[in-house]
Amino acid sequence: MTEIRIIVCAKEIPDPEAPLSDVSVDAEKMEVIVDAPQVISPFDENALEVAVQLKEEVGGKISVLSLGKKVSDTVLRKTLAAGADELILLEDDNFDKLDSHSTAAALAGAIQKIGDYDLILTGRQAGDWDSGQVGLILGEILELPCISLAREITIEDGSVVVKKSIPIGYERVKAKMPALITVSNEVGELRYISRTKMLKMMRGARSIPSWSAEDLGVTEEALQKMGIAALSSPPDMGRDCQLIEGTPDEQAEKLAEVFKALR
Amino acid sequence: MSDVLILGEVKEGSLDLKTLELLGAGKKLAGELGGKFSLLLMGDSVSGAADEALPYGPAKVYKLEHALLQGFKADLWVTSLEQACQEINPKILLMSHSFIGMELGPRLACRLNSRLTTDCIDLSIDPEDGLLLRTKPVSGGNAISVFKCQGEPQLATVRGKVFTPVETSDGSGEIVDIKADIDESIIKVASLEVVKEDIVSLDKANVVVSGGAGLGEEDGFELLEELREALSKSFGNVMIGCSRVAVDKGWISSDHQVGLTGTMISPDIYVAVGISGAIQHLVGMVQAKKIIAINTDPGCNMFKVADYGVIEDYEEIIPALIEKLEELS
Amino acid sequence: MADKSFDAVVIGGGHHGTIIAPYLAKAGLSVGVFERLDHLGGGVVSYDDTPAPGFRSNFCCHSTRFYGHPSYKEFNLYDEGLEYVFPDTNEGAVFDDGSSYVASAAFPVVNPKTGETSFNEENMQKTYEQIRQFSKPDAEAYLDLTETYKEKIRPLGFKQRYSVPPPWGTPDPLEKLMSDPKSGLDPSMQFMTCREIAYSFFESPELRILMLRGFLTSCGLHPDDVPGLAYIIGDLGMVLGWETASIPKGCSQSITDSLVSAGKKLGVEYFINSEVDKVLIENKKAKGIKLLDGTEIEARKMVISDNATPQLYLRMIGEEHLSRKMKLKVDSFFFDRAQLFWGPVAVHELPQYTAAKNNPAISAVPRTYWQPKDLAFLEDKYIHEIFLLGMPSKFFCLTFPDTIWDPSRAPEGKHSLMIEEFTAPARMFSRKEWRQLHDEFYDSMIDQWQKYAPNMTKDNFIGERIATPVEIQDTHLDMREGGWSEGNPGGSQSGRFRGLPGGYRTFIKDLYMCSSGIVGGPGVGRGSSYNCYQVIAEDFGLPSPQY
Ligand SMILES: Cc1cc2nc3c(=O)[nH]c(=O)nc-3n(C[C@H](O)[C@H](O)[C@H](O)COP(=O)(O)OP(=O)(O)OC[C@H]3O[C@@H](n4cnc5c(N)ncnc54)[C@H](O)[C@@H]3O)c2cc1C
Ligand SMILES: Cc1cc2nc3c(=O)[nH]c(=O)nc-3n(C[C@H](O)[C@H](O)[C@H](O)COP(=O)(O)OP(=O)(O)OC[C@H]3O[C@@H](n4cnc5c(N)ncnc54)[C@H](O)[C@@H]3O)c2cc1C
Repeated sequence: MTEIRIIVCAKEIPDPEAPLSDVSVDAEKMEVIVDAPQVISPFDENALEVAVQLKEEVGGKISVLSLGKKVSDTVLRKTLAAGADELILLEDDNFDKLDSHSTAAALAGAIQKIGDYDLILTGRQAGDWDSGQVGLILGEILELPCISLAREITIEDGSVVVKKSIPIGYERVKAKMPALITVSNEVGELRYISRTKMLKMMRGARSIPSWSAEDLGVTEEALQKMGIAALSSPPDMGRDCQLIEGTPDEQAEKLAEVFKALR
Repeated sequence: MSDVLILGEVKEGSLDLKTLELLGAGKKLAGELGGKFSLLLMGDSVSGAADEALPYGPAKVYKLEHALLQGFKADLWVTSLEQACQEINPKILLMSHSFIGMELGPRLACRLNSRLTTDCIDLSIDPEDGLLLRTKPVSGGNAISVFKCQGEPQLATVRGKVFTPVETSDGSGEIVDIKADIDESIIKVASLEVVKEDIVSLDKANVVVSGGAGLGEEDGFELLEELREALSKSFGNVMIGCSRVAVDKGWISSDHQVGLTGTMISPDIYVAVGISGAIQHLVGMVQAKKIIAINTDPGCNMFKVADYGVIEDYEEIIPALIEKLEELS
Repeated sequence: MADKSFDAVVIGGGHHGTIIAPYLAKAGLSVGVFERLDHLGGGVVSYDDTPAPGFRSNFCCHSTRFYGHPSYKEFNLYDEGLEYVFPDTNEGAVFDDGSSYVASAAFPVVNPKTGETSFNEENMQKTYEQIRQFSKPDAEAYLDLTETYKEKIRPLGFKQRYSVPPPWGTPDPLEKLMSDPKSGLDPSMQFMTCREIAYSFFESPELRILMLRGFLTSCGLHPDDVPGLAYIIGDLGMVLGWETASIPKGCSQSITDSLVSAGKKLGVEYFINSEVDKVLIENKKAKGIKLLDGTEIEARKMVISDNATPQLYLRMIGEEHLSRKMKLKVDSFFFDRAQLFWGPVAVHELPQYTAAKNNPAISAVPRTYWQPKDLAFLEDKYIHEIFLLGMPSKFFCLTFPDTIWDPSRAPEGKHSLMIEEFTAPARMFSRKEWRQLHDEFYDSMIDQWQKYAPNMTKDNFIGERIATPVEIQDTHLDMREGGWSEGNPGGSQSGRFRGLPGGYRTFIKDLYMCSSGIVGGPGVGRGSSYNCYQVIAEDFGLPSPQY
């Protein structure tokens, strides 16, 4: 089988699992403030995981693109430790709070600069704005076959075969490469990277290229902001929780009574 | 020209409930705009559904029928929808945040060079400039953002169960046939097969018993299954739900997942077992009428949204609970 | 209108909250304690069926000497159910070259009921021989230090710990020692780093490793941190095993239970599931508290906080009451030391160390380290790797096989051990990364332990409940970043300098602070609440403690 070139788009976001108490909203500055460490958006990690699996199966090269105003290469270096061959940061002050279309346009610029690719993988949606648009728009801009919600990906001579989730089960679809695929968590979590591997990667003297908007050939006008008109905290979801106490047996008894009353 | 256009969805020949909700939203927006709302139906045969739609009061029901539109093939659908938009030229187009809307929305937005907001929970018109104000939960639900974007049509996909379905009124609208210029050459992604799986429809459950990472192992779901059976004797539709971690660990299939990227539900009773209550999970079940949480960690978030809480190892409490339920029934 | 009213309102029923409450009640005040969690004790709690059915283990504090706290006598805690057992051995270490070290207490407890100790020449000789394996000069130094400890330092220990520091300019008992040429302490030591201290007392790599690793255990300090005088003595004492190890029957919870039982008898009212949100302040005077659910509690005389500085000052008092200087002082309270992988493992059999062949005593030591004899790694790389990756590539792991002395904690014939290895502040890794780190830590621990004790294979383990800093942080609001210290303990936050100016008395009248975030410092049985009571007694003319 011939080797394939895969590009994975991975976004750096604050830990989406941060507890509610670590998240606040600055309505004035219209910013969500999350007091938590930065991570790679979970579905993008899933995308990287399939990329690495495919590389292990048929051989090839994986490039990771990460776009933002400023991207932390310490967070993203993990992708290299996991099996990516190349990490390219797309950094520019103008990349702050871009709308989905502009983000896709900038990524498309980078992908065209790379030139040679068979598969572009993104997560189904980013864990910060939960938009779920960039992947599909990117596919449209590059005029590629687009497949969303992949739960399994295989390569069959020049084509990609994908099991995608649909409401009644799944659909097996096939497209000629190059193609764009958005990936869902069913493909499996990103493999765990041992400390020794991470250490090597962190200490590695390898330089990580960073491309600006100018490098990508995207103009400032092409980069539009998200257009946030207002930002607020969600309504309080809290309820008065009645704790059921006692030995497990007593608790079970009381809980059964609760069910009975709700019948 | 139509002010607000709804992309309807047809299920087994009839209008989907989500479409009625969208019509509700559309009617409200048309009112704010002082204009009209219409419905677009696409498929190989949607005449029945189009007739069904008229009494709900749309000014027009656009009917786009084409043999190739049988089943949902995104490439064909997005091109047809693009053509329909060019013909109808709506100010606003609403789609449901369903499997179909999630795929068509971004692609259409790109083709029409407009901006889409997904998964909206509220919509209104800015009286100043007539643009659509799109309210959407972000950061998993930790914040609510209102977006305003340029471009026409104004595009949004809408979350289910937030708008009240439209009620019938004296419909005086008309059905308008429109054509799509599509052929097989447009298809870039070929469908090889559609595999139906034994899928739970969590949104139909009266009671959902849900398990998370706290179950510790796959076998935990067997215990939950026993509880499900015990509860079935007293309650109608009892089903098993789960958190994403349970899916990620391969303990259960993803159709059971409750939450932002699973199913959003509002059953009569939701029993959360070993689920911490991450925001992405909460948004999927917090509308439940009664929430019962079983968790070993008194500080966990689930207790904050629950009506009843049991701080205990689920392996201790559930077998005892099953026994007591048997005694009661 | 307040919903309830007490003379003294205590915020937080944690360790120091449960200590100060009975003192106040004994002085005749009505006392209400308001605790956020569903149980009392804070860092002093234990759970049944942990880490496996039939076991009982601690969640936070493990190694305690509460029999030495004045409240032990004041409230007859022995009769309230707090009973300690005292092993003969104390601190021990197994190195990767097969050598090992066991310290025996030079001052063992002779009366378990009162905690009375007496000097034991034989034990001192035993420890001497153990150190001699590594270095004769270090062994001689041990004898000298033990002499100084006995004559000069030990008599001050109690007074140092359980008295309010004198005003700056008046040396406290320990500071006085620096001007005594025979004490072995000199003023420069106040400013030395842990590494400098280790090098200035001992020459063998073994003792230096023990000192550096000991600074982590006893004060959460890194090699280049400045410990301050009290911690130098504390670490020396630990490494050389002067005082006896002690194990409370029925786990650390017995401390909390006995204090609460004494409190209840004196009329203290405890309220759980009652999170405090605000201190009610009128004209710069504390008038009561407001709970998260809106309930207001009147404090007729005083409010006492068992919380860390940031929560008390920024949340409960509120930034609007703070001067810029005060605010900056609070901001300079850091939380990036003392984070652990910490918790019990249950095993079929205890570790059988290969080193026991030459040193049988190592088989039963209450605090046993297993660690590589790699001083350079500990000095230069250990902490760096932890901050970069969450755990070091070589563990310097501390284990506590308490079930040897308190078999009630495990089903018959089985054992459990507490585990301690250091890690990074919670904020440095995401939730998912912590879950992964936990799993890798556990696997690595088993792999590495086997090198010292070949029977510690995976199938010897029955269960584990090793917590990471996120779990500590989520359950303990004041242990920010998930360390065991309410604010970094070293340097400017050690000894008399800990906390904000004013000490136990905050700048709000009638609002006091009694937690481990103030002079006394982290750890169980430290003096903060006792001293806080003394200050209150002085302000309100209450009786002094009997002991
Ligand atoms: C973009 C995005 C979308 C997401 N979408 C979803 C979604 O749709 N649905 C979803 O669920 N998640 C979703 N997540 C993941 C979410 O952030 C959490 O990771 C997940 O919900 C956590 O699952 P959990 O509660 O089962 O696991 P944990 O958070 O690990 O909680 C386990 C709980 O079990 C308790 N426990 C442990 N042992 C026991 C015992 N013996 N008895 C009782 N209790 C016990 C623990 O105290 C703990 O509270 C999404 C994340 C992102 C970033
Ligand atoms: C993992 C771990 C291991 C440890 N190991 C040891 C050890 O081996 N030996 C040792 O001596 N020490 C150990 N410690 C340290 C010891 O537990 C602490 O020093 C001690 O508990 C501090 O007492 P405190 O009263 O200052 O705080 P805590 O005991 O934490 O008490 C504070 C109390 O206030 C409550 N509270 C917080 N916010 C509010 C609010 N808003 N309203 C109401 N109540 C509130 C808390 O829930 C808690 O009960 C350990 C700690 C940890 C976390």
